[in-house]
Amino acid sequence: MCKSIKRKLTIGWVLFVVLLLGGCTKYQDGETPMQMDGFFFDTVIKIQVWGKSDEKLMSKCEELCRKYELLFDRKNENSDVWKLNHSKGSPVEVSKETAFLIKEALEYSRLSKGAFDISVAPISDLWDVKNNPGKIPAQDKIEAVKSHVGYEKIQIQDNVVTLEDPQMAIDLGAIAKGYIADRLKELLEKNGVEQAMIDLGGNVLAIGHKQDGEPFHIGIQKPFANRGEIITTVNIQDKSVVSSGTYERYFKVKDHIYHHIMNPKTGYPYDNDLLQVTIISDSSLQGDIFSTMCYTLGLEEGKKLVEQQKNMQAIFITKDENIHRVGF
Amino acid sequence: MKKNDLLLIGCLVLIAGLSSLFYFFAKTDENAQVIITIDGQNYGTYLLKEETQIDIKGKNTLYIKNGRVQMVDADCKDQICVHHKPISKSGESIICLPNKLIVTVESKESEKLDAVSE
Amino acid sequence: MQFQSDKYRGEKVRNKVPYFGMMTALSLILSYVELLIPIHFGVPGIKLGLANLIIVIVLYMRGFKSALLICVSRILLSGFLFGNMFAIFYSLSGGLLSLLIMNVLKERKWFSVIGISIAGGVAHNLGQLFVAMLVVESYKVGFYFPILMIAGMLTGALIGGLSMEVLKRVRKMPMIE
Repeated sequence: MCKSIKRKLTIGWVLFVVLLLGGCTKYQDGETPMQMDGFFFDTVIKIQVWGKSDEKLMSKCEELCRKYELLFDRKNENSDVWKLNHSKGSPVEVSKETAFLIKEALEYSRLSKGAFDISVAPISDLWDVKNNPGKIPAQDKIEAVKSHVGYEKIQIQDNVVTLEDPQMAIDLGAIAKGYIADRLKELLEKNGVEQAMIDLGGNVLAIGHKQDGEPFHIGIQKPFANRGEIITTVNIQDKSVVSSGTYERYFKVKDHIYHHIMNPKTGYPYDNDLLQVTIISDSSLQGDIFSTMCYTLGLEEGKKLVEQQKNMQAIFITKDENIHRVGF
Repeated sequence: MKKNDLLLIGCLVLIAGLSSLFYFFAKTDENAQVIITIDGQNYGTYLLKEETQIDIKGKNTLYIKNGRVQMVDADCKDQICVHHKPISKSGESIICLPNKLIVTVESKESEKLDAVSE
Repeated sequence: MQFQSDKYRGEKVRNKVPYFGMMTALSLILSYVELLIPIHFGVPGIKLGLANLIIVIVLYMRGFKSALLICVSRILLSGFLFGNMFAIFYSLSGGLLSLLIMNVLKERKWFSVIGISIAGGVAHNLGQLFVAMLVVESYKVGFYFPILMIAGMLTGALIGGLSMEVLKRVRKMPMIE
């Protein structure tokens, strides 16, 4: 009798302690993160860090963003990319970061046999989808700019890059955000951060998991819907989520959508069965490259490409609004 | 039939009735989600109000329309999930045992996204 | 098996093999007949359970051990013939729990055949539900609890009523006893 009362007391005590500890972790959930908001690369960026209070770290992040914006912004006369695009065929020495990014891009241009190409800029400039009120460029103009496109004409030796065609231009905009997100992650991890969320205007990159041990819950933008309206969600931990799609920038002529992902072979926007591709991968640069590349390849080829990769998952949204998950 | 039989039936009906009360109180809200898990692992989350067709690993095809979720195709032999009535209420689920697949409707009014990939 | 006297012994043993063979065959046929009925109730797990008719009858005529033998052999055979490993797994968990509950209640003599069959039907469905929870690693399946309970009662009552009628008539036939 006495024994059983004792046992009950012990159980009660253990329960009490467990509940108390449970309460403690609950309290931690509500911890407000360090946060940095900014406007870089034409988008709003947001970095949140949990479990650290070091304002210097946040300013370091900001510095890093500024530094890379300066290197990759083709409209800034001091940027590496501007210098390259105005080199008229002569070799230009660039920073090692720019050289790395170009090398990386060229590798995937080769892999995709030119479907993904950073030298597509002359075509993009001609279309100027962002400011275009609905005028399709004349065929002879398209033909003219098309001849200046080709990743094979980019030569790179250490940090020296040569654009062989004087009328060539490159644009790193499509992959810069991914690269910078990776560098931000590197910087934060080097400083002992274990939980963070980096959001560079839709390039989402997580370090670790949430405070309560749950994975981060990421929404995927619904194509052509209001911003923030989502079509599905994914849970991630230590992963990057990047989406590419026709809905980002486009104009309409007679119900046909002309968007910003240009086909270097035709000189027109790609026209296939896809609306959007989302890549979940370890590196955000990889996410940028593969989301664009898979888009250019279309559903079937894109699926195959993702299946061949290690640690990569993808969500394809087709024009009939069907959701295809690959690698989950 | 003995009197005890009726007593048993009464008890069982009472238990079933009480446990089904929560079914009637479960309501569908605007942001109810369709959650798919395979073998206990989260596979994907979709909005109940969206019209969409989801191909699940090439084995099952799920169709969401007008706030109702229906399994339209499955590669398994028994086809139980395909014959399942469409679900719409929070807490309801369709299960495909051979593929260890569960589709559940869950109401998550307070659900918060950590970020959106655009 | 208990034998009352040596006089009947030879006869009983000779009876045993055809008896079990016939009952297993009957229950298999009923399993198959059920497959042919294209009724889907919209909720998995709900079916008539015609084969349970045989189980209830054998339980009353020959007792627990015999019913158990036929129950297990029927499930294994019909599983291999018409189903798969999953089907066997579920049927077994439902069938055994149902038989166990029916036997316990029968010993207590509280209920008639119908009451016992109802309890068996409910137990059958709940046993399957429990295993389903374990397999898919989710308590969400529990949502079916009330529906499966009511369904188990209805099918149980049906089977119980049928069993009662069959038992009344079969008991008059000495060669089956």
